[in-house]
Amino acid sequence: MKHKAIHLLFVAFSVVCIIAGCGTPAHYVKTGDAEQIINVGQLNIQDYPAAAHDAITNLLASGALDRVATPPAVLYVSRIINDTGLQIDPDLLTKKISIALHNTGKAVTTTTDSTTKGLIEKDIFLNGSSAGRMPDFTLSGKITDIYDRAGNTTRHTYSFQLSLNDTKTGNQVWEGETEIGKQGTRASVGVW
Amino acid sequence: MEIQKVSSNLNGLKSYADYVNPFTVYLDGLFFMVDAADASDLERAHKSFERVNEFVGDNDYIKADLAAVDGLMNNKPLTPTTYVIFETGSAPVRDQIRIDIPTFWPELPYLGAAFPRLIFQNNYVSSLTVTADGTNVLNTVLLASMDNIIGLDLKNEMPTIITKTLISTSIKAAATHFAWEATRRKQADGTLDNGGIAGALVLIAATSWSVANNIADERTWTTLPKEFQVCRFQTPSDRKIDIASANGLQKTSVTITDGIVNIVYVKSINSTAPFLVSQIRLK
Repeated sequence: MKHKAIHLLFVAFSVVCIIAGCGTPAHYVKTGDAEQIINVGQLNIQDYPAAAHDAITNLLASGALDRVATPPAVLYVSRIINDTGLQIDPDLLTKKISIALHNTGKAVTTTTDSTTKGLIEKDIFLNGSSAGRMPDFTLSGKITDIYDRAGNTTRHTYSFQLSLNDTKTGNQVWEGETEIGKQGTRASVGVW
Repeated sequence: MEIQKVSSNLNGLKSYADYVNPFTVYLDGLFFMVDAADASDLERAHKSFERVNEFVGDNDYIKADLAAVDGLMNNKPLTPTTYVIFETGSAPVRDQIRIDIPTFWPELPYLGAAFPRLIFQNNYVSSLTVTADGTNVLNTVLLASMDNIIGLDLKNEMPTIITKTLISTSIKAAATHFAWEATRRKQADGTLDNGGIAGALVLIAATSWSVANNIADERTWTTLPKEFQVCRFQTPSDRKIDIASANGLQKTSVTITDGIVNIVYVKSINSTAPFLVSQIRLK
């Protein structure tokens, strides 16, 4: 009888341990930490800073933003075409680029805020003109996804293609491309 | 053979993708187009309309939506537009295929299993004809078939349902057999008087329990429609439109409320019931 009670207690304790062991306690993580979730079929949060960092490094190294008559250059962030099958917020990429450019002091971006735009229009209406400056450059681009499959293994290559366009000449004064490749078995998720 | 019949009526259904309803993707595109706060919202709307176009095939109305989003991206404002969304028919309901096997084996007289199957509801209005400005006659076109979505869902779920049902049948059979075996053993030990009657009662009770519990899960969301359809057009100057069923049995006139982008939502439960019409002003 005593042995049976101990046995039941042991089984109950094991079940509690198994259930408790199934979950991961909530904790803070930093983007870019060693602990990352990787999905083959979608872009993860760490992919945007990686692509943005690559673009900023190449853009600043090219010196394209330094070739304006009155620095800092004024930049208008134009359309980033989402040519993937995913719902992507392009601001996750462009915001990081514009923040980094602001911090270097080499460029400022034109506002997208409707209140500010309204105030500028009011200024133009009252004074006939505005102190605002036309953008020197526009930043446009495209995000694509190339999909390959062999047996049970899939590979997605996401390409971030960006162009800096001169608004006076219409020329592309800088172009950059960053590729992020992911490979795994179908519908796999990894923690790295 | 009976198990094969369970999902045979699901094989011809067109599949979108797992857990995708083109109607909700379309509404996502519509909302982010009309109420866009910035360029990323317009990009989202564009992607949603692109996805719907891929799901439903070549569709002029969705192409017009894509053109409208492109226009907004180039600072061209939306023109007064009315959308007629048509919710028609009723979603499929679940019935069951029940297999009852009398084994004629005294220790286990009954085995049974029940599997769900879909019954499609075909009493519905196939499409609407919308007349605007007295001359502009348009038809609603298919946006999402709930038959396809629910059918694909059940088809994907079917291997699990069959496995669970067979496990359940095995457990019930084993329980019946062991209950009878325990009674028989007690009778042999001499610890149970009238063991024969007790054994028979155990078998009757266990078999009755198996028969009573041999039912498939028939729960479904019956308020869903059979199809969602859509039609879009420039809002007529007099803001009046006539709506008629394809068979001409039901007709109604609607005066569109003020607004740049309006939705006229028409619901029809079956081919004879009157339309239920409501309006939403999006912008």
